[in-house]
Amino acid sequence: MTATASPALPTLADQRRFRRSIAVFMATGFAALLGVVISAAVLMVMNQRQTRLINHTFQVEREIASLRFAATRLVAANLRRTQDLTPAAQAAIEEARQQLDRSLAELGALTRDNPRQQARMPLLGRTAVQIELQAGIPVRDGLIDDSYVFVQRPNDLVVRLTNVMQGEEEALLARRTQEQRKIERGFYIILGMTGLLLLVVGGLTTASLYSYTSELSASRKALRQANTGLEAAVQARTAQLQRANSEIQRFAYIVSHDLRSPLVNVMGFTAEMESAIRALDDLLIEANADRPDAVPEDTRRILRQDMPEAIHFIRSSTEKMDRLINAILRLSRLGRRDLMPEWLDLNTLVREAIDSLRISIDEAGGTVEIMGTLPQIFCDRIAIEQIIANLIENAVKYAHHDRPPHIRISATNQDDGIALHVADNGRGIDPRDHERIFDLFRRSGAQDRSGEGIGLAHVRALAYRLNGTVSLDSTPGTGSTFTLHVPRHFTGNQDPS
Amino acid sequence: MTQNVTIIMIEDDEGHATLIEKNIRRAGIANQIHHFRDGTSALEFLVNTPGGPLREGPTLILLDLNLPDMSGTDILAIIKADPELRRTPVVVLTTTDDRLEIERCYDLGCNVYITKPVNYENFAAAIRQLGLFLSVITVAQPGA
Repeated sequence: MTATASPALPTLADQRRFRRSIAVFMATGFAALLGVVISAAVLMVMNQRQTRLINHTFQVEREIASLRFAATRLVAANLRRTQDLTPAAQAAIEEARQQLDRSLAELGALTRDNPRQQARMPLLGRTAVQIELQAGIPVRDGLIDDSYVFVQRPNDLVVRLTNVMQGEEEALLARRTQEQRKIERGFYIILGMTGLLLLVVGGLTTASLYSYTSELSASRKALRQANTGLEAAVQARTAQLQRANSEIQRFAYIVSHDLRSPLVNVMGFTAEMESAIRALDDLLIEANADRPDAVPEDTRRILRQDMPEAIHFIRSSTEKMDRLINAILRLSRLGRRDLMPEWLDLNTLVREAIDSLRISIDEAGGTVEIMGTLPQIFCDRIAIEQIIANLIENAVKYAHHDRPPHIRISATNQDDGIALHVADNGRGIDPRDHERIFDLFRRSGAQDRSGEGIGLAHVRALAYRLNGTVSLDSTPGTGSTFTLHVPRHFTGNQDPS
Repeated sequence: MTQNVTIIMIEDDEGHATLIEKNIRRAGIANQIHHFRDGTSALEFLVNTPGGPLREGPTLILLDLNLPDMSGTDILAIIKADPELRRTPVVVLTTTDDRLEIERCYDLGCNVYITKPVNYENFAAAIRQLGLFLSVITVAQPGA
């Protein structure tokens, strides 16, 4: 058969390449995801810091506003005090002063990270103190020294200073907000790029999966085609063998029939000749009675001895030839018979075979023994019967001269069927003849029993038809064991020839 | 047997024909025997010859199945399909003893099937039986 190897069949290298590319895609995908996670985390941290800074700026701005408010309140309270000398007014001054001090301290703490704002703090502090002094609040130690300069309108200075500080903070806020926006933009860019990368990787993976799957299905198709081709080849071969087999059977059939036709003539005309000789013999007797010397001794011998002898040989040979032709015919018919498998109990079958051969077994003084229980098989009854009968008959027929035949029949289970053993204590078979005796018209050992050499050929032909075999194990002088191997369940493959 | 019954023997083997005729004569049958060695000439005589037995008088056919030019069963089928010939008794006398072949011959309308035995005594006996058979059968008259 010419194997139609498909070009689409993926090679081992193809498969390796596919596995590698899939691994690369997966790795790329995971790396991209990991990158997104890491950059998101980093950006988140950065964003948090920015937010914190922005909040800080807001806090500073709030504190500046609060400080300015406190200063204004203090100035206003002080002004009010000139008309209102109630303890309530005094309390308002005190409250405004406390708020101013708190704001001052807070602002100082908040702007510690900013040297430019920090530089403005001493002036702011002193101006605040001046406002407090003007409000009649005693100065705490150390705050006013010799270098202290008093300004005309401290409140205006506070407003100016705080305005500058506010401006500074606003600039800071603007910068930080921009910074934060930049971070956010970066985050979106990374996210977008990762998404793109994942899309590409996903696309590539899908594409390579698709191509691999289509390659696989193509190869499966190719395999199926190859399988069908193989099946067709086996079928063609089987058909060929069956044709050859039926051809041989037809041949055997035709030959044996055509051989018969001339045999009818040989036998017929031999008989005619025989009766002619008898007529001549009568004539001879008559002639002898008339003139005893008329027929010479030679002629008499020809008529009385030679010719009857010749006719006897012609007859016996033709008869033998007829038997052989009949044997061939029987074998060829055997191959044409349809097998009909059924469940058979070998115990029953063997006992029946023994009963049918009872006369010849008893004549030989023989015994047949069934060892153990024989199995059941699904097979053709007639074929099995003929095989068993033939083997037992042979065992009885070719017994040893010194002892009566003792035949043991047993069975063993085998993987693929059963083996039926027919063992005897007969004369045995020369190892050289172990194959030969299964051939048609071939026999072994001393030819002291009648037979044509057909039985075992028949047995083997039957065994083959049952999808089985027959084998022989024998020691000359001791005995032989014939073993029939057949499937437990005959499935049948007979051709309709 | 009626004297005017003609025996037509279709047999390619000269020896068989001689042996059959010898034994028929030994059985005391003196009827005319027409011998044909092949199917074609036998059919020609049976069907087409104006002076053939078909129109002349009653006939009996001895038929061998293994002929050189055609199968005996074909001849049998033709005879049994012919409206005028089909009542003619046909005795198939052949070496074939295949069950299927015998059944086919009877299905086609063969009247007697005899297997030629190799054993000559049996052969002679079979022909003598045939002679006995011939002496008692009544053959249909043509046109009757």
